[in-house]
Amino acid sequence: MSDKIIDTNKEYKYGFTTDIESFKAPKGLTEDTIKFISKEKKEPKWLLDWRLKAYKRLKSLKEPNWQKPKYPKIDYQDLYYYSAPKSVKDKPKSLDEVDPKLLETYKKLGIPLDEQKRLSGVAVDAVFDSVSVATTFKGELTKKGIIFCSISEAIQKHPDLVKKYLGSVIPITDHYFATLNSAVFTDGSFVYIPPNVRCPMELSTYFRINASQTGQFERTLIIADKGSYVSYLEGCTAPMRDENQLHAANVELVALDDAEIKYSTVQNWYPGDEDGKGGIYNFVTKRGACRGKNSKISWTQVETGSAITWKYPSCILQGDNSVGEFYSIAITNNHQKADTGTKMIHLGKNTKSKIISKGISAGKADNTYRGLVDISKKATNSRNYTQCDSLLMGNKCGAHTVPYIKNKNSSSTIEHEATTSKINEEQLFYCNQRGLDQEEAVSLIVNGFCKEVLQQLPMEFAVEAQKLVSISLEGSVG
Amino acid sequence: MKINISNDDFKDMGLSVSQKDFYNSFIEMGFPNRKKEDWKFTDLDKILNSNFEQLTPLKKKSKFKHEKIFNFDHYSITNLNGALIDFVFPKTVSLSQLKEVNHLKKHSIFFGMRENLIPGRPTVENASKKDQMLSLNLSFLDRGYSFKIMDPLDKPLVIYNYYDDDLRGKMINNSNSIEITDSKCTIIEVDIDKSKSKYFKNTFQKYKINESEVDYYFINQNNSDGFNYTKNEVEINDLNSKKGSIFSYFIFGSGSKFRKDDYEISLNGANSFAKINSAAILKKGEHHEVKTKMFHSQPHCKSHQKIKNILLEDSKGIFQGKVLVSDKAQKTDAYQISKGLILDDNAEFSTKPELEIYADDVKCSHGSTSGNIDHDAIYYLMTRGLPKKEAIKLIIKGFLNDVVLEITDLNIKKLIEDHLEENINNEN
Repeated sequence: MSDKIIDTNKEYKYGFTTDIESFKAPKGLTEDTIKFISKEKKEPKWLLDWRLKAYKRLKSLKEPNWQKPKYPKIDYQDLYYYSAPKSVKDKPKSLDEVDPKLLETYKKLGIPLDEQKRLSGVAVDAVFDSVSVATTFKGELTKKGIIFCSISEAIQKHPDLVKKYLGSVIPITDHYFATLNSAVFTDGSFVYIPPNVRCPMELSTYFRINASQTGQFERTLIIADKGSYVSYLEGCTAPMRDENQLHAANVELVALDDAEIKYSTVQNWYPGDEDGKGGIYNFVTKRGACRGKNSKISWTQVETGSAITWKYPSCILQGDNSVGEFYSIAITNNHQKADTGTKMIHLGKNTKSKIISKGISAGKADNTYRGLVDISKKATNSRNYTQCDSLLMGNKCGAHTVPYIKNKNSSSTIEHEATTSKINEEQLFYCNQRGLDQEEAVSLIVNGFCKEVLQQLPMEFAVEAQKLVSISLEGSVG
Repeated sequence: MKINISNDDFKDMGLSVSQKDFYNSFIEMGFPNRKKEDWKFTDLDKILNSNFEQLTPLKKKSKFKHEKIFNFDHYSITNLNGALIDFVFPKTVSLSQLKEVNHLKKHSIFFGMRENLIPGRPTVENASKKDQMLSLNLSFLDRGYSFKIMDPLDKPLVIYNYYDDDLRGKMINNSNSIEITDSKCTIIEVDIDKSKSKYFKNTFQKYKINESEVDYYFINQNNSDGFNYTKNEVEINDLNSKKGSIFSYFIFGSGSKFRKDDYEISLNGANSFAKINSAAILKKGEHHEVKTKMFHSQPHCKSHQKIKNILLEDSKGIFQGKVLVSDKAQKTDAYQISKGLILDDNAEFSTKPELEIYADDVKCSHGSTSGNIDHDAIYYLMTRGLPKKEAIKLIIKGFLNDVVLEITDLNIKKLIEDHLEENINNEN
């Protein structure tokens, strides 16, 4: 059955480049680059100092090398750290003023930026390369007191909030890529939900890497104040390219008393061609802090793209009775490598966490679940449930599970289980018998395998994700 | 950690490097700390530093009047402080004793020696450069035994490991090798510590199981202040018949102050079956780690691992288990379960059950749980008239019984039941 693994392969659906002149910072990572970025973005001095402090620390750090997937060394001096589409220089007042080519790109991506999409109830803060181009639905959100804008705008307009929370979950003293991001981050989203407000719509941002050789360093900060609720969607596509591109984003979530944040991701970046050439390096740091009592943070992710994914969306359960959840599907095909999982750090009393991870590996890919569950001495009556299932297609791929489990408390309970197997022949046979061809059958079974995670996605994403799951595996079963 | 050495500690081993060289490479690396992935939950450097001022390699080999503690009929090997002192064997077993360091090569018992002969494998010199415990072992290695069993044994073989004399601050480095071919046998290894002192033991053991059925039991007989690290390399081979071997390893390590048992098991013969079972009741300050690496390199092999820990007072139970399935090892069946019953707020249970799988037609799974006794279970037993203490005891017994049930030999089953019972009673 494994003979045909690399025979047919889905061409990257979103593989195109839009021809827009980019405005770039000089190549290389120096103090001057950071000053340039900061000046270009008209940032206050405290932020520049903060960036420089991160840069100073970065110089003393070494790039990590413990991970399973190895990659060619990245020359950080050969990257552009800032690039903005030219048309942003004189900011467009409405959609008509936006570069039509940009609009065209969005159309191909299906981003609901224009008026018709208003009906779909999605507010979009689209990041094209590194600068936010347009933000919709602002009015409606403003009425409720919700702030949803680019982080550069937030730095200008809401410096107090940014200053208070930026780096409070992922400090500049963190690991290599997080610190790199702190030093050179260009743009990203900022969300603030005021107390007792339920955000009326799903907030969504589409990231898109476009300019060649531009590492994208997004910074997202979401704050849910007391008693509020927000659901945030993140989706990614990227054009086809030969060079490997680096993406080192930082996402910080803060949930105060009784607040809930739901963060969903569909990631479909260019994974490289069938020989593993090209593709994006996705080295993302995502971390949420349940600071308040009864707060909840829920991560849902569907990872199908990128040549290498390292991503461990984590929850720090500080507040008593807080809840952390992690639902993940990671699909790897061809030469893709995904090393993903979560960390659940239980600090408060009666904290609960749940981890459901589904890994699917085909072609010559490697798929790793790496996670930590740590229940500290003070976290009495805490609970964790973890389930990691892996599916292997063919004998050239690998599936790995590396959980770290620590229980330092006699009143807390941890349950962990993991399984690895292949698609059940009998199930396949049954589907074939009912008239489904092999590919449809596999798609159906895999979607069923992932059901527990797909159910967690908001409507808008669920449909797209189901398609992605099928597309990603096309041609991997013979 | 200071190691107290004198010039006559080091000898020529008949290898390209001397013991002094191994010592130098050990000094370069130092004792492993938690920055080393394999020692993540056991910071040996820190543990030794807080328990010893300095370590002195033990040189003395004493005589000792020993008694057989098991009343069933058995063969025996008796060691004192890691050195062989006596044996009662059938003729079919050949035994060599490691007397002098320069006998090492001749007896080829010493750890990693065989690898030297296999092209492509790292030499012992190279391997020791990465493994500080191996280089430490080789630096001071001066005791051990080696035997081959080529026929089925009619009686169990008991390996008595006595520790006596004043072993305060002493360090023992020994190496053993056991080869079993075309046999069916039961081996019981028992640690009996009469020294009442804190010492550090660093042991490397090699097992070769060729088309045999072996039940191996390790029992720590009494409370010991010893600090034990044991590395066991097990090769399960298939010479020609393809019938496969069955190797069952039982670990009953309760009672040691510090114990890390490290197993590297390679299933090199098709249709083989390896089992690891561990049950422990950990008390005050005990630190017990079981680390396994189950390497499936051939198809149709099975491995089952079952780890059960009861954690009392400020004890620490650790299980690091890895199942590695190579792309050739189709139809592998690998299972692993680790459970910790945490009965005290200062106790800790940490696990890292790991799967690394490169073959698709396999059935691999692991589970890990930790937590306290279900209150409903205690309540149920109390409604049936049991006092709370008895109810807890019964539940603990039931929890560990999972491992005891795997024992087929009735004599040994009784032995283990008594051993566990004693440990439970001591506590309540």
